[in-house]
This record gives sequence, C-alpha cells and structure tokens, in this order.
Amino acid sequence: MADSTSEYVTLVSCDGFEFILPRSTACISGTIRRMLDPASKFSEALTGRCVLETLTGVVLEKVCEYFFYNEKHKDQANVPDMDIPPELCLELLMAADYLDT
Amino acid sequence: MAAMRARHKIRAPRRGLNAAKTDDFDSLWTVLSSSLTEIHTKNASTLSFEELYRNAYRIVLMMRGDDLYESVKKLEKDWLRDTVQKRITDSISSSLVRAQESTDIQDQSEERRAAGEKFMGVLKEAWEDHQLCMGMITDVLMYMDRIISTDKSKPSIYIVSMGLFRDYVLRAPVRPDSPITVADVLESTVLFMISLERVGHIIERPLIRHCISMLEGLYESEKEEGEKLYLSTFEPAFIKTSKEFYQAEGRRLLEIGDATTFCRISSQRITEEQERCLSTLAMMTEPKVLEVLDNELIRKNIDEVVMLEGTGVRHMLDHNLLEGLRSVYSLNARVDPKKDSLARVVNKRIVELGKEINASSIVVAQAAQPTKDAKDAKDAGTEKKEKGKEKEKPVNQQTLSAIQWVDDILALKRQFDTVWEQSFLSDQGLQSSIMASFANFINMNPRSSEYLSLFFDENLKKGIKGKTESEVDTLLDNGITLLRYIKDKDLFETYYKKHLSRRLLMKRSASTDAERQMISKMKMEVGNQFTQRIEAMFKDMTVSEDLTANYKSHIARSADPDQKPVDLEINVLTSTMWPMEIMANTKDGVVQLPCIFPREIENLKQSFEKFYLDKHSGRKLSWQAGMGTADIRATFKRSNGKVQKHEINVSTYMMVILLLFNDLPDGKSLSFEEIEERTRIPKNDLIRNLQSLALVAKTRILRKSPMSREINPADRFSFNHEFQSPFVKVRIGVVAGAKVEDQEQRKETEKKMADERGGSIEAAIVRIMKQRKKLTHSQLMTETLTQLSTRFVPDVSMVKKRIESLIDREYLERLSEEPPTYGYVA
Amino acid sequence: MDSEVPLPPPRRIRHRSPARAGTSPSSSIASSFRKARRLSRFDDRSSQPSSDPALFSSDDIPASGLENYNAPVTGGAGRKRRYRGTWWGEQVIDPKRKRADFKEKRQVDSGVWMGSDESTAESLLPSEDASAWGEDLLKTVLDPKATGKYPQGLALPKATAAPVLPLPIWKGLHESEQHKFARAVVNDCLEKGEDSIDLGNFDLREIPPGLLQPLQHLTKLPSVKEAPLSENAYSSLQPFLRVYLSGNSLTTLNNELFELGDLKVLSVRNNKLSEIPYTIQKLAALEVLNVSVNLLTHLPWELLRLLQHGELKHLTAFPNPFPSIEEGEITKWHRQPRKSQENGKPETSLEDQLRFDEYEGSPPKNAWATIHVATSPITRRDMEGNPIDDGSASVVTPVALPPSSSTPSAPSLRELALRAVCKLPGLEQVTDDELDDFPSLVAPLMYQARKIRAAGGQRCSVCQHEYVVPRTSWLEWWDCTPHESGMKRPRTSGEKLRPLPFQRHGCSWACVPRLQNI
Repeated sequence: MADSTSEYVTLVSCDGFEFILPRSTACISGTIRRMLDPASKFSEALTGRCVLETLTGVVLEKVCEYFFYNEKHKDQANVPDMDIPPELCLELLMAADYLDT
Repeated sequence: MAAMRARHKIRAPRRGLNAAKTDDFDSLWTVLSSSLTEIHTKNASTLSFEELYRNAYRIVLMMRGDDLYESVKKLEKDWLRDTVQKRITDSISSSLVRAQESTDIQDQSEERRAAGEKFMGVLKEAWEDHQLCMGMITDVLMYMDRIISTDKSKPSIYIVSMGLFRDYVLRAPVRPDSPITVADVLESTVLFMISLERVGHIIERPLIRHCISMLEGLYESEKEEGEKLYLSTFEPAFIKTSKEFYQAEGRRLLEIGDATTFCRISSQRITEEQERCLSTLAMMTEPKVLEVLDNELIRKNIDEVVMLEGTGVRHMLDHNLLEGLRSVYSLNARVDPKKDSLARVVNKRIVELGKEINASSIVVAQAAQPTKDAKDAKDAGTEKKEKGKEKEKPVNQQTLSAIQWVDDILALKRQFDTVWEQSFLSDQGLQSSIMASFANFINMNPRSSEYLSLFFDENLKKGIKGKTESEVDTLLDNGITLLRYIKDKDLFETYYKKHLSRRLLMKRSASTDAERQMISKMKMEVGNQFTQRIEAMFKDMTVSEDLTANYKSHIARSADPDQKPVDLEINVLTSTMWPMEIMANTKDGVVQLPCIFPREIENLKQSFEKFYLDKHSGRKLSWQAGMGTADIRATFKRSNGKVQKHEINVSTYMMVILLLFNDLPDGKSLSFEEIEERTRIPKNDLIRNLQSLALVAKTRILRKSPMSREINPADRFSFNHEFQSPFVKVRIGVVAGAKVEDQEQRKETEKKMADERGGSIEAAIVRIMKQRKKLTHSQLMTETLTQLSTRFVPDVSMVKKRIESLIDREYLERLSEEPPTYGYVA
Repeated sequence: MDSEVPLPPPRRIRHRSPARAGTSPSSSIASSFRKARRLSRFDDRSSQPSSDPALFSSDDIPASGLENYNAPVTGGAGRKRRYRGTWWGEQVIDPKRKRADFKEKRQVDSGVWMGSDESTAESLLPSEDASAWGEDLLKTVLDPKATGKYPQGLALPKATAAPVLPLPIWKGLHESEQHKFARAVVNDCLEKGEDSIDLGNFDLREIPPGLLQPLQHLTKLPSVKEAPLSENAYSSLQPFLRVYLSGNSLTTLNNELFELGDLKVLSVRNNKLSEIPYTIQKLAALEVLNVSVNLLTHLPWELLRLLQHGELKHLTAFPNPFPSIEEGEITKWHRQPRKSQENGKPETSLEDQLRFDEYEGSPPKNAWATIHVATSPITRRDMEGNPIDDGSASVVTPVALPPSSSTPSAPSLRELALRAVCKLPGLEQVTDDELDDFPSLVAPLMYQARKIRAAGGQRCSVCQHEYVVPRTSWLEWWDCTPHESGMKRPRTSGEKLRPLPFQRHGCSWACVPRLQNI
C-alpha cells in the first residue's frame, strides 16, 4: 500500500483498531521512529504499517492523541497538561515506556 | 473498600503482555536469534520490527535482559568469527602476506597494489555491513539497551559488537598459525599505498579513507578511556614511515644541490601531506605529520640549503630571485620563528656587500689625483646629471666618493627593502636584523658620519635643483635612514654643522625650505637636542639679515658724505652654536691675531661695532674674515692704454690682499711675507687665497714671480693689469680646501670630538648622580651609556677617566670599594 | 570559614524525665527558667557556629560546663554521652562497641528496661506508661541480635492499648536498641507535653517509621498541679516544637519528619546525609535549621524559599563538603559590584564578585537579603530523569543520543501518565513489593511518583507546573550569611560573601534559568 517515503503511516492495535497519522507525528515515539527508519528496511519501514501487539485500541488512541498534543505544543511555553483518565494512566505509562516517548 | 479498589488499580498492567503466547526465554530467543541472522544476511524486509522489539521487551520484562545481552553477544561473536573473518582472510592474497614478511616493496608493486585494493574493498564492505546491521539490531534491542544503560556497568550492545569486530576480524590471523593479523596487513597495505602516492602514483583515496575511518571508529577497549585504534596503532606507524621517508627525501634533495628545487619540493610535500590528511587519513594527524616533515626535511637541512654554493640564499640575493627567497623564508619560518638560518646568511651578505662599498670608497679617496678617465669609470654608476655638473665645475674627488658611498648604500638598502617586503613578508625580526647589519658595516667605515653629511651638503647645495618636492623629500628621507644606522651621531652633527655653516655663510644653500625640511626630519629621527644648535644657526642668519638692513638704514641716516659708502652685509653668529673651527681664533694653542683690515674696512668695522654694541651692550664681536666675501670694482689699465673694469667677487681675505695693491704704485710688487705681515691672514688661508688670485689661469689678477705652481714665502706678487675675462662680473672662488678632511684635519676633528664627548659624558654623569645621589660603578656605567646612546657610543675607558676626573674635582666621592660606589657631592 | 573546623557541641545532658515528672513544682520552675535561657542562646552571636545550643544546662547535672568536658563519667548517675577519640572529632561511639555496652547492661538488667526501675537513671520509661507498652512486646523487641534494619511491610494492626495519646502505628518484632530507645524518648515527650525532642547521639541510621508522626499531635500539658509560684512560671501551651537528631548516622530523612508542620527547630547536625529533600518546603514554621557536619554537596532550592519567604531565620550549613564557588563550574555571574563599576573597570574579578558592596551609614536593604551570586551550567535529563552527559559520546553509538523527537517544552507521555498516577487514590499505600512488580524501567518512576505524592506534590521552580520527573537541574549560588551560623546581622561593608549551592530543578528542557533577566 505504501512505500517507505509515504507521508502517512498506519498504527494498528492488538485488537485491530487502525490509526492513520502523519509519519513525522508517529515518529515522536522513539520506538516507532526506529521501526520506520527507511535505512533498516524492516517490513514496517517498507509497508508503513505498524502492528503494535502490546497496545489495545483504547490505549493506542490515547497514545495517538498524545502524539498530536506533543506536536501541537512542541515549542510552546506553559504547556497545559493533557487529560489522562485515571483508569488508563498506568497502562499509558507502560505504553510510553514501550514506545519510548 | 475504596482503598482496596484503589490499591488493586495500582498494579502493573499486564493486559498487553498476557496476550503473549509464549513466555519462555528459549522460544523467544530462538525467534530473535534467527531474525538477527536474517538481518546479517540482509533479509530484514521479511521481518517485523515490532515483533522483534516486542520479543526483546518481553525477555527484559521477564528479568532475563542479561541473558539476552549475553546471547546476542555470542551470536555476534560467532557470526563475525565464522563468516566475516573467513571472507576477509580469503581476500588477502598470499602476495600481501609475503609482502608483510619481506620488505622488498617496489618489486611487484603493481601486483601488491591490486591485491591490496581488493582486500581493502572487502574489508570496507564487511565493516559497513557490520555497522548497518548492528545499527538495526541495536534498534530492535533498544529496550534492552535502555536497561543496560541504567546500571552503566556494561557497554551498550553496539559498542560490544564493535569490539567484537575488532577482536574477531581485525585481530584475527590472516592464515591459521600466522602471527600476522588482518590489522597488520591493513596497516602495511595503507602505508604501502601512501608510499606509492608519495612517489607520484595515483591511488584509491576514498577506499583508504573508509578503512581509516573504521580504525577511527574502533577503540582499544570498551571503557571510556579506550584509545582509538587509529591513534594507538596506525598513526604511530604512519609517523614512523613518514619520518624515514623525509629523512631520505632530505638527503636526496641535498644531493641535487639546488636550493630552489629544495624549496619547491618541500612546499609541495607540505601541501601533499595536508591534502593526504584531509582526504585519505585523519585531520588529527595533520599537525603530527607536518611536525615530522618540518623536523626531518626542513629543520635538519635548512642550514645547508641556505648555504648551498651557487644556488643558496646568497645566489638568490645577488640575482634578486624574490620567489626563491620567499620560499626559503616560509620554510625557515615553519621551523624557527626567528628564522636564524636565513637571517644569518642575509646579514653576512649585507655586511659583505657593505664592506665592498666601504672599500671602494676608500680606494676612490686614496686615488689622489685620478685622471679624468679613471674618475669617469668610477662614477659609472652615478647619475648623469651629476656628471654634467662635474664637467663644468670639478668637484673634489673625495666628495664624489663620499656621495658615491652614500648612493651605493642607498641602492643596497633599496634592494634589501624589496627583498624584505616581497620575500620576507615584512617580517619584523628580519627587519631588525637587516637594520643591524646595515648599521654594522656603516659604522665600520670611520668616515660614515662625514660622508653622510657631505651627501646632504651636496644635495642641499645643488642636488635638489630641478627636483620636485616629493623627490627632495625621498632623497632626504633616504639620507635620514642612513643617519639612523650611524652610531656616532654627535660626529655627524659636527660635520653637518660645519657643512651647514659653509652653506649658510657662503650662500650656497639651494633652498631654505629644503634645509628646514631636513632639520625637521632630523628632529623626528634623532630628537630635539640634536637639532637645537642647528636651528640656532638658522636663527642667527635671520637675525643677521635684519641687522644688516637696520645698519644700512642707520648708515643712510648718518651718512658721511666724504666716504664712499661700503655696503656691509653682516652675519652675527652666536659663538657656541657654530662649528668650532669657524669660530676659533686660536690655532695650535697660539692666539691668532685678527686680520688687519684696510682703513676703509676698519672704519666700517668700527662703525658697525658701535652700532651693534649700542643695541646689545655687553656682547663681544669677533670678526671672522675667513668666512666672508666681498664685491670689489677693479680697474685694469691695459698696456695698450685701454681701461677695463670688472666687478670681482672675492673672499674677504682676497679683498684685503687686493686692497694692499691699491696703495702700491704700478709695477711694484709685494712679497708673500710682506703680505702676510701686513694682513695677518693665517698662512694657510693666505696661501689658498693667493693660489686663487695668482695661479688659476682664468682668475689671475695677481702676477707671481717666479711662476710656479707653488706659493713660496719668497714669491713676489704684483697686480696684473692684463687680466682678461669675457665677463664683466668675475667670481673668484677660493681654492677649496679639500672638503673631505685630510688626515690632519681629521685628527683635529677627532680631538675636538673627544673633548666634546668628554664634556657630554661628564654632564651625563653629573646629571645622573645629582638625581640618584648614590650609585655603584656598574649602575652608573649602564645609565651613562644609555643616556648617551642616542648621540654616540662612548668608550668605556673614557667614561672611567671622566669619573676619575670628577672625583678629583670633588663632584663625586667614593663611598666604598666593594662594590665600587660613588656619591654625589653637592 | 571559621566554622569549618567541626567544633564539638557543648556538653549537653539529655533530659530524662524524673520519676515523677510534672509533680514537682520546683522542676516546672526550673523548666521555664531553662526556656528563657535557651531563647537567649539563640540570639547569641558568639555561640558555637555549627552546634546546637545547649538545652538542658544544669538542672540535673551539676558539672555540665565545658570545663569538665572530658571528665570521667560516673556510671549510674545517668546515661551520659560517652566520648571517644579526640574532642573535636567524631563523638559518636563506635556502634559495635555501643551495642556491646548495651548488651552488657542488659545482662545485668535482665534485658528489659522498665520505666518502673527507678533505681537507675537508665530508665527511660515512666512507670505509669509500662502498661501502654505491653510487656510481652517489649520482651521480644529487646532481642540482642536485633539489627537496626526495620523490615518494611510488616506492619501490624494499630496498637489499641494507647490510653491517652495516639501511639505510633508501628510495631516491629525486630526493633533495634536504638529505635527502641528513640521511641521511648518520643513517647516520654508526648507524655510530658515536652516540646523539645532530643534524639541526639542515638546512633540512628534511619528514622524509624512512625517515630515522629505522633509529634504532630503533641500538646503541652499544663505543667502545674498547684498554683504557679511566680508570674514567669506561666508559659504558652502552644508547643514550640524542637527536634534534635544530631550525632546520629542518618543517611536519609523520611517524610514523617516533614509532616511536622509546627516544627520550629530542627537539627540534623553530624549525620551522614548527602541530601536534604526538597520536601523540607513543608516545614513552613521552621525558624532554626542545623544541617552542619553532613555529607551535603548542595541544598535544596526549596530551602532557599524558606529563607526568603518563610520563617527560617537561622541556618547552619557549614561545615559540609560543599564545592567552593571558586572550583565550581559557573556559567553566569550575577553580581556587578558597584565598586568596580565606579572604577570603570569592565571585567570584575572573582574577588570582586564575592565581596559585598561598600556602603556607609545604615545597612542597605540587600544587606539582609539573600543574594544571588552565580549559576552553574544546566544538566539536562532524559525522560527517566537520568542526566544526559553532554560530553561528546566517545563511542559511535546511535542509542546514546537523546531521542530527537522529544521536544523541549511538551511533557513526555511518561510524564503525563505519571502526573495522572500521582493523583490516583491510594498511591501512598502501594508497597515497594507492588511497585517492584512494574518493569524495571517503570518502577523507579513509580517510586518517584509515590514520593512526590507523599511530599504533597512538587512544583517546577521555573514554571510552577506540578511535575514528577525533573528534566533539568542546575545549581544556584546564593549568599545567606546574614541568616547563617548565628550571625543574624546585616552584611558589613565590603564583607566577603560565602555563597551556598542550592540545587534547582526544571520540569522540561524549556524550564531553565532566564539568563537575560538577571
């Protein structure tokens, strides 16, 4: 579907939810950035599709929300906190650890 | 209950992980290890990064991170040892191994070169593959690395794998049981390539650069302080071979024996090495290899190169090879900030040339009465203008040689200035050493001060006629430059004053502006004190002009109609400011009585004295007839009855002599002694004046008997009514005493000089002691010498004598003997 | 510099409550008398620079002056400090030795300290309290083999036997002698309504959990049963809470200490602390603080806030191994001494930087204030709070570089999640075991979150945002000499400044000192 230079990538959760977002946004995650590194030629880099077996759709959605939040407040002073539901915070912490973000 | 629920929540979520099918290290590792091998065999596109990452993540969460680390390490080790190492050693041809063992390089250089390039190509490829694959593997194992990096005890897997490459590829033997390793072969191959390039071959630079950057990227150990392999192994070897190469190169170039070639090739080598470090090796090597080059090629040989017979610096200087000199300079500058080797030769050459100039000026001076031809030959170098003038009015030969001397030095100076500017890049150190050399040989000529003053004299008298202001300026500046070199400035001052007084009194100066310009230049160069007296001389002249005018109007008012008015133009000179010999009325200790003026003149003298002393009472006027001139109207009664009138411009003495004949009946004559007795003109002057009047054909107003070329005391003189001249106005110059002093005058001057210096020294000593009250002998000596150095370099024994004399006269006292100390007696 | 030689503390006798404390009118008079003395000592400029003032001077020990400092201690007269080694050196007896001493005594003493044992002054427990302790418990506690380590997670149900005062919730089976001792002292104080808690020279390596917590509720008891004999026997019932932990071997201070919101005086002199937690900010009432003779290399920024805006008036910080400002790395000097400006000298020497302005007449305003002298370079930290060494990575490695995607100002997802975690109910109750269940990279973050939660939150010193993981840190050098070491006077003209290093943290890479402001 996509080559390694495509502008958008697809993130897939373990329960099958798909999120399509700009490559640069997804690369806020260190793990995803490595995954998509065109120099390495892993299958994800070639297809632009990352299946994240460790993340559920709910968490991944929040992760994607964070990516956009981060992008939006990149160089801004006094960044407001992103709303994190208490019931998700531990899982998000784990996901952040996994995704290195 | 609420608390319990909350606590349940704060548990590590396991949802994502629990979905994992396998949770067992071995099965996870099996998947991972096969995938890592796939990466090495470049089949990554079939692999999912996420899967590998997730497996590694799980292993880490199972607290088996260390096992994973070790397993990966082992996998890499096996891969490098079994696959990569073999590939590399296979690429090393046996000729390379042989070349390693024996040193006969040049024989099969082509073969070895091809083999070497093949080997480096394979090695480079293996290294790049390894880097790429390890980059990917590190990415996959990032989670493990993050754990590793937290405890800091272990290096990251990437660093470890690089170390493995070093150990299992580079340090592997090329053949089983061979002591030679791959790194050895690489090193010798690269050095071989460089040696090829140094003898002019073209080599595969980028390939070498790749291999070098591999050595730069690898370290001796995994520790922080580990040194780069490049620095620990390759660079020393490279520096060593470079050293050998440049030692040989130095010998080779010296054998060729051409300084220009040496410089050219050395400069080329420098650029080559710089370029090599930039494009083939590493930048950090540049200073090191250039140091080797500087040491081995330049520093050790520069002395010999500079001295090379026929092509060295002397040759370059003599043939004005500015390019060559510049490269010698820049090479020397690389190894010696003072450029001693170059400076030595340059200085030696300057002194040699300067001595030649000195010698030739002495030769000219000694050629007592050279023939016209010989003179022309000598003056070949001087300007034509001068020559033309010479013909119309012969200039004293010695004066000519003095001017010649100055001109020669200036030419030499110009030559070296050009060299200094263009080849030595206006180097400060060399400038001062060149200046020192000039000063050195200029002061070797004992007459330098006099010659220089004569040079100014000549130029100010007539040299500047028809020259523009800027030309005059340059001319004077050149002279001033030389003045800078002259050690005994007081001697120069003496001569300058002497020459200046002549110019002023005899109105020979061509331009007052030029004179003033000269003074201000001297003032800038040597200081106020130096020009004070010279300026006073000028002041006397202007004051005198006014005085003359005043006197004239005074006379006009009180005119005595009986007398024919005699115009008087007078210069009143302050005795201390003017040169001694002009003012002196003693000679050899005998007081010289003033010359007896004829009546008319005596009246005039008295009248002026009255006029002057009315104005300035308390002053004493002493008349210096020797320096004046007079215009007289002479009537010649020819034997054929005709009467011819001429206006004759003569010296004051001549006037006095001629007026004697007014009172003498026609046909009578006066003997030399009679003239001497009736005028009291000093004998010397009398002889010179009589020479002009009686011996020079064109101006023979007196007849001498017997006719001879000499003036003898018994000679008799009579008025020559048959004097012929095409002009109404005739000017009779005094036969000039040699402008350059003869031996006797010189002694005289030196004696006077010594006296004056004695005074200066004493004055300086007293000044110093008055201020310091108490000083040791050595301190006093140093201070005195410093104070006087702007004027002259005093003789130490002279200073000592002066100190003694001051003690005798109780200006100073000895305070102690050890160390000798003096005190000032108030 | 005068205070850098560790001077020995003045002789201090721990106050033991007499057997029938509070019943004797004379003792209460003495007590109020003591207080007056004590307060005067606080203001005394000539007092010893780093040691705590002597509290209980001479009411029960006649020869307590400095003159008999080294006098042999007569056994049985009371448990006195035993001095070992040189008089200026370490005063704490070698712990092993001390334990042996204890053991010896226990053998004599049948291993139980009974408050009722009035024959010896070793008794720390008032006899009335014996019931509250529970004899069976005491017996188990006094196992001579007990180590100083308090096993965590073995909390017993709350003691129910406390008759009057809330007793600590701790109950350990293996309690060390020292802890035991300390608890006795605290309980005694609680009992007596004594607001000066002296836990000095107990050889404590940590503050036992639950030891200090009850002090939050300390109330002074009306000290007389009979009518006061004189006017000055009246004293406020508002406790003037003082805690002395000097001369122990503490390496950390726990949060309980900082829960004592009324704490007025705190001494942790002569311990092994390498850091003062930022949670000290909670001691809003603190007036006197002694942190001298520790292993401190810097002080928390929050302490400076207490000096500037709080009640803290008396800080004793030296001696401590603070780096000297001459050696410290400085990126920015903040002072421009007036003197050199007048001279028109553009560059100022270190000497000038460290000299207070010359002034004449009455002290200028800033003669009292803290003065910002210099700022160190900024250390950036990664998303887990580990410092990133900017020094060139000596090895070619792609992973050593910070992820370029992490933008300077936006918080990382981990940080955001942690902030949410901090707000979770019940975070305090999570045990270490439960936290260790988290992946090893996450666990430290959770510990940090729990710690911050316990401290009541942590705000970025630059943007005031609450945060968990510091992303930047740097030192600021401030001169506090007017509040130091009992000086309590304005800086004199041209006085040499002696700045202290305070560590500051920022919550993002954008939260760094605004240099252009200064």
